[in-house]
Amino acid sequence: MNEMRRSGAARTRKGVLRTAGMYLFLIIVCIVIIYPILWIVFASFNPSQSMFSSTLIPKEMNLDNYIWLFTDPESDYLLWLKNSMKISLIVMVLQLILVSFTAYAYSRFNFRGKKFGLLIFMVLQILPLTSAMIAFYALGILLGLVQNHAHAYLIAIYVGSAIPANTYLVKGYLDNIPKELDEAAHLDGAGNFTTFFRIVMPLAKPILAVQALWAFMTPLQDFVIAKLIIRDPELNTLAVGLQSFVSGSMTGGTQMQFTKFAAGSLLIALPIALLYVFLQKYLISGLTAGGTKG
Amino acid sequence: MKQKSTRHQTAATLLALIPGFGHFYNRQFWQGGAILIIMAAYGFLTAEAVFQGVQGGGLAGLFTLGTVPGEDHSLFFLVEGLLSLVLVAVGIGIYLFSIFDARKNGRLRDEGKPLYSLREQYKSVMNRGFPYLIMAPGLLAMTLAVVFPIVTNILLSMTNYNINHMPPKKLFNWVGLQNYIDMFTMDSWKNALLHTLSWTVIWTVCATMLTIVLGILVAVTVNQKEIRCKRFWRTIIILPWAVPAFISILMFAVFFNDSFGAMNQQVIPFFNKLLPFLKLEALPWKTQVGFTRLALILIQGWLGFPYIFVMVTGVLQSIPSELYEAAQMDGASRYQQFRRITLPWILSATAPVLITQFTFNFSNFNIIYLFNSGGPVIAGQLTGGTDLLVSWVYKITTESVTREFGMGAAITVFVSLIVMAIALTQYIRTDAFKGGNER
Repeated sequence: MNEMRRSGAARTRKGVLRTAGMYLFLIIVCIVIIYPILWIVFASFNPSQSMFSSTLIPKEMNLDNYIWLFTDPESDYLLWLKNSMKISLIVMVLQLILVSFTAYAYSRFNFRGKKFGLLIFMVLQILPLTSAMIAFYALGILLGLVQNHAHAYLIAIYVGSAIPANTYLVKGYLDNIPKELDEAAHLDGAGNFTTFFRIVMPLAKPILAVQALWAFMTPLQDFVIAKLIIRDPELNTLAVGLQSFVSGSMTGGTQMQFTKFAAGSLLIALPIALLYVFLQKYLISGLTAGGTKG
Repeated sequence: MKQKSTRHQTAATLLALIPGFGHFYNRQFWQGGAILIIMAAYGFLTAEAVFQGVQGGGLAGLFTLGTVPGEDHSLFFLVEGLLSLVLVAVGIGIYLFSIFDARKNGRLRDEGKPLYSLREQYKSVMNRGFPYLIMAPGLLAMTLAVVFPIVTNILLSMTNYNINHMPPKKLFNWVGLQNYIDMFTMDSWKNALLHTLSWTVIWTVCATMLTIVLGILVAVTVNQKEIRCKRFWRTIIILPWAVPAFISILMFAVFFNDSFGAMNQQVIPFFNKLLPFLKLEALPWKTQVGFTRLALILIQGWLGFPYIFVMVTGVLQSIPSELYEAAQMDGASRYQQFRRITLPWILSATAPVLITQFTFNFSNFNIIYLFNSGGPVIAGQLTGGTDLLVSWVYKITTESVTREFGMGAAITVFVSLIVMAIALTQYIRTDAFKGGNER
């Protein structure tokens, strides 16, 4: 049936034109997507500081920018990488533990205040993190967190703010795991913790994997809060550090080091992009399970 | 008869007004002792903080916000006052709980039923209290990192905290709703607010519509039966979603640079070669408001449409093919099928996500700040040409010399209210929320 319709449509002239039009549209979309990406890729191989280039492919190409990032004593790239990895890993572990516990409670138990709790989560999930920006800043300075414990403060903010939305997401997934399994385990004498670790969590692995990935990504992607809280350049995360290449604050505001930014950004963007492309199926199911988070 | 049946209940309740004594009366000595010790310890530990304050003025400091300029730090007073309030509330909570528990046990005695032994009590706490127990760490983290700052922000919005009232040199004070009134009546604030708000609304609508329309259009196109190599197209289209947003934005910030960006150096010359009659010139992307705005909307389209594309692609698989077959029987054209079947199905399935796109863009700080710091500057305005409400707040609090914390907080509350109004109306209808209520 499908086959017949296709050949029937393609045979007519109108059908051919339409198909060509659709391909043309997709090709234009893909060029618009790829052109800036190619441009930054080539820029990262461009050794010259001058950005004047009337062609996409620079005349001279080498790995100078990459070598500079890793070997030059002036480069803090490895330090930023270390800071970002540290923050991301801690956030990932803490968020996984806290979110899976709260989601389990909301999915499996009836308790007083549950509806109210869900309502609060709903409201907090909608509110942008920027709605507490001033307070983050003022409180952080007040308590000395900005001055002395910037990383710990950042981690606390990332983890705490991730809880409402992600609890919803994981709860949505857990709701689909049959409760009969829990009940059977309880009948066999398993306590709540045993049921949680032995029965529910193994079945929730897919959503936990998505969670772990996102928890790891959030700190890598965040610029605003990190910029607001980090004062000491030694503590810069990748996002804040890379931005300094382009904003010019690193070299006294005189020269933009776009080619170095390009190299540093690609090194971090490439593994992330590959993860997204390979895991797109799981990411989508993770998105639709909770159904609400943008 | 009736009097007799509530004798223990009344006595236990009244005695419980002294912490622990209600339980003593019910001969629950361990529980009573525990309550007495917990309440005493709690009172002892919190009394100093609540009544005297550590660096602020305790609970009273919340009202005074400090009295001695140069010595008292109003912000300390506000935060400590808020913390004291929480401590007092928790204390009252424990106290009320002990009274209710004594009352309940008194009633059990009136009814001649046995009371929980210590072991049973422990078991009951472990069972009924289990959800609270495992939620506690998460909720605590959330409260400290999000709820507390948001409440602090709301309180700050009712103060005159700015450069003229900068602690510790000077005190700031409660001004009630003055910031909110000024925001809408004082000319300088009103103009800046209206200017920023109107651009924020235009930006939100245009950027979000572009994202959604493009996402749906591309997804439907790729899904057409004539298109081959679907995986190939999907992999390319997903790329902008996969690259961290701040990297893409910074990339575009240079891409659109007036003098050496690729837009003016490569793309526009290319179009001139392709269509010589156009005679395009290099455009002032970063220096003229109109062009900066156009660039921002285009970039957000680039950044955001792959996400919609991914969602819609998923939804398209779920539309039953019977619908199309029936439509074809009735002689519906391809366009009619799209208009009457595909589009309504997509919109109803992704409505909540589409709404979050609006709320996200309404406070999309990243793109505005990273692309051009809210610029270009407009003469005689307190706000940049492309500043959204959120980036404007960031400017007047952390960058400008006036340090308008109070007003900034008030604008933030205003923004949050708008975002919530957009979102809540829609959220309440979604299944995620209804499901949450039932279970």
